[in-house]
Amino acid sequence: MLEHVTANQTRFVAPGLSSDSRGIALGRYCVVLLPSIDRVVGLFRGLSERGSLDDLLSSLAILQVRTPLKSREFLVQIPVSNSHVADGIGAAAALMGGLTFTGSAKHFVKYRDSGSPLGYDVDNLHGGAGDFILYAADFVQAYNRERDLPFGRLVLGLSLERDRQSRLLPEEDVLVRTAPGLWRMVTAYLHRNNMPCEVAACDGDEGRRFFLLRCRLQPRMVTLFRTTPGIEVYQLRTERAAVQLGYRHPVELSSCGSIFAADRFYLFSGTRGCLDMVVGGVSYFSAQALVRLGDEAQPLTHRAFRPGEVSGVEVPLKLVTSSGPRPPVRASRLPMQQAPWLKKLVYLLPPQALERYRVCLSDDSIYLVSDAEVEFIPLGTMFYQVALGIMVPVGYELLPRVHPEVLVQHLGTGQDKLVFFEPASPRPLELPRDAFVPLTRQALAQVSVQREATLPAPETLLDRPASMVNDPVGVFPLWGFHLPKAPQNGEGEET
Amino acid sequence: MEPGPDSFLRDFVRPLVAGGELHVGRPLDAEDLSALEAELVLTTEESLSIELARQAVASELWLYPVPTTLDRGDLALTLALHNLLFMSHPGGDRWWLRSSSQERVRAFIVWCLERPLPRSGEELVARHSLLGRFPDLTRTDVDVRFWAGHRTFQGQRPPQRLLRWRGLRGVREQRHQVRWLATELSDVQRELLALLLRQSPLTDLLSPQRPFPPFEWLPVARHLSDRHVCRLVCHRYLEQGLEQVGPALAAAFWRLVDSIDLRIPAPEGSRTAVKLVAGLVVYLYALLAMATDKKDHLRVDPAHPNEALPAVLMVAARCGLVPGVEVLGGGELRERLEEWAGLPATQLGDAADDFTRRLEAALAA
Repeated sequence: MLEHVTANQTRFVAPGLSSDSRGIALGRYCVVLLPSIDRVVGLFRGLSERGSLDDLLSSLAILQVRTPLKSREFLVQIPVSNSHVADGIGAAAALMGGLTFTGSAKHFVKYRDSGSPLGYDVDNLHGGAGDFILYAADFVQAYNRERDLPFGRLVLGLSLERDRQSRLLPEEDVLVRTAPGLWRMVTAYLHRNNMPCEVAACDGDEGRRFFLLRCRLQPRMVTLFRTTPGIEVYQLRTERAAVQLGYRHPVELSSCGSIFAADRFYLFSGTRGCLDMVVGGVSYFSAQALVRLGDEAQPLTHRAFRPGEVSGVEVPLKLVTSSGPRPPVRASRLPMQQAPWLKKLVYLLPPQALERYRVCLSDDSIYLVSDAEVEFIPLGTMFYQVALGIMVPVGYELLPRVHPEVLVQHLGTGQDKLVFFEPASPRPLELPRDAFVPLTRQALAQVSVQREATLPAPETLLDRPASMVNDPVGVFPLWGFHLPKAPQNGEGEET
Repeated sequence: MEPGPDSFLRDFVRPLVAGGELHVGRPLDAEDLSALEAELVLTTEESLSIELARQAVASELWLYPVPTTLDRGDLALTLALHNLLFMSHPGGDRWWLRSSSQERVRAFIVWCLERPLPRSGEELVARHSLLGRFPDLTRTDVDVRFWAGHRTFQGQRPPQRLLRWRGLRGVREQRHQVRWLATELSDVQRELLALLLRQSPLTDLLSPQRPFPPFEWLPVARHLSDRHVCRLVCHRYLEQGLEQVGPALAAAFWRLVDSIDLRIPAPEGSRTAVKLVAGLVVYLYALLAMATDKKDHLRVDPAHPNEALPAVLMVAARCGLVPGVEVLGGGELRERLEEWAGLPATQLGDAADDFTRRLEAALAA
């Protein structure tokens, strides 16, 4: 029968028992005796939610055993390193109606409970035959091993359960399993909705081909796909396993990822109640290269463009008036007649503002460009920059509203050219950036404006001596000499 | 000089700033000052040329913008100087001129000189650009000898009638140029001159070897705390040559040290002035040490130890006023400076220890 282990007890009758750091009698294994396989699954569900099972799987064993009276039960043999792990196993087993024992080889005594906090030992060993001898408080029972149940096979063979609480995270990648006839439509649908995705063709165990799409979905798409026959949405649980959305596996798969083979991919389907195993892994391809939009593509026509000839671009761009916020002005075109005005403004501008301007002169106009988005010189036609090097008058916009990069690509602007659109001119004007020079350096010299006369610089002064000459002062030089009227309280205060 | 604001600006203020002949006429009074001030409302060619000349002077001294526009205070200072020069005018020394009138002139000069003193470096340079030439003002005196006697004309041109028939009358004309400050000045002039120098501390600092008034450190030493001003002064001293300015600087330094009454606690300003001046002397020799290794300028005249600037360097080193390597920037420079500081002791003998004791006592007072 069982005996209570006392504090500081070092010798045990049951072989393989020893005291851990807390003085609790513990063997190398904990054995949980369960009456049925569903209790075994329940035990692992509880254990997998508390922590990873991967560390235990190497020595874990699930055994179907039989008593001398031929009744079948299940033993789960779990390696333990300390009593904390054993406590967790005991708590989970109690929920499943199982009994927890501890030992090392054949003899397993009851694990500690509230009646004996340090565990139990036996007064003598049972001499009966059997592979396992379990010592409980009210019985001693010998069990014979009937068969082993591999944990991996047990997990892969379980049916999924409905889970109405399952939801996708906002940025979560999902897998969409489609039947062979649907994948093109699904891919095109995702592509039209600007949802990038990758596609892989997979062969199941029975040779039936299906297609997997890896993508992100919007909630409306999830609802659409879940209600479409032939399409299933899966959530990734591990790198190699996915579970259908709306279902959950009885065991937390992320805690036992080592049971999945490295060269396979597992899809747990709840709708069909089966497991699709993709042999050889999944190779995804970007769907962008596979999607075909619209009708049959026309053969490309090749046109030779001369660099710099803006009128050769055949994009039908239109300059139309626009309303809305006023963008920052970056350039201006002044008629040459306004050059004197510009000169006057340049005199007034502070040097920090003046340095930002670059100028280019044509036959009839002056083009000003600013490097920074600052308030511009309020002269001439003002332009803002819609794309790199493309200037459009303020109050106008270009149609169609293509992306700025497309404009740059088609007009060939960039670091070396500037293109000015004007409503009065049917063709835009192109100016090389090299033609723009800093306003402070050369522009004033090139603008033919009248120069103002400046005072001559004084001669060198320090070397010129000063001498006094007494002029004639008359007979009464101090006649009529006036003192300040009230120096003591008036002007004197100025000092 | 013809009366009027334009003539005063053209014939007196502009030559005062830019060099040339300053014409000294009858003394100008408060009404003239008001007229000049009214003239400044409009920018005339004269006032613009004066401002440009002041800018040119200031640009030789200062890197930063200097306010050189003529204002009422500047005009009052120039009027004060003009009237001060008039006191040396031969026409102002007539016996029939009443002393009360001369007293009114003196009172007006004092009133003109009651201006706020410049504080910043820019203000110092601006004031100096206006008054910087007056310590070097010269006057051409003419002695005319003829058969019946001789006449002396101070800053005046002799009348043509005295110069006629040179051979027959035995006319001999002798011209010599005198520095105005070296001429015989009255006590009133000396008093007013000191007041005028106070109005331009930079002029005071840059003319230590002037004949009068003797250079003193105490009124101007506080401006040496501005490092830009201190560098400007040092560079000007080096341009003038330490042999020229050194005796006046050293003598003023020992007067400053001895002015601290050891019986009562010295005001902090005096002790700070001593340290600032000693620092300036150390900086002067540090600049020299970077430029040359010659030791000619370290010679000391044992007969006038108070006028030996190397002695000031010596006592500054003995009293720990020479900065360390982290300030001087190199061990070699400091070694050379220490070597130089040790040289005057052998020439001064016992006076070296006396100097050290005086400075230590002044610093500890």
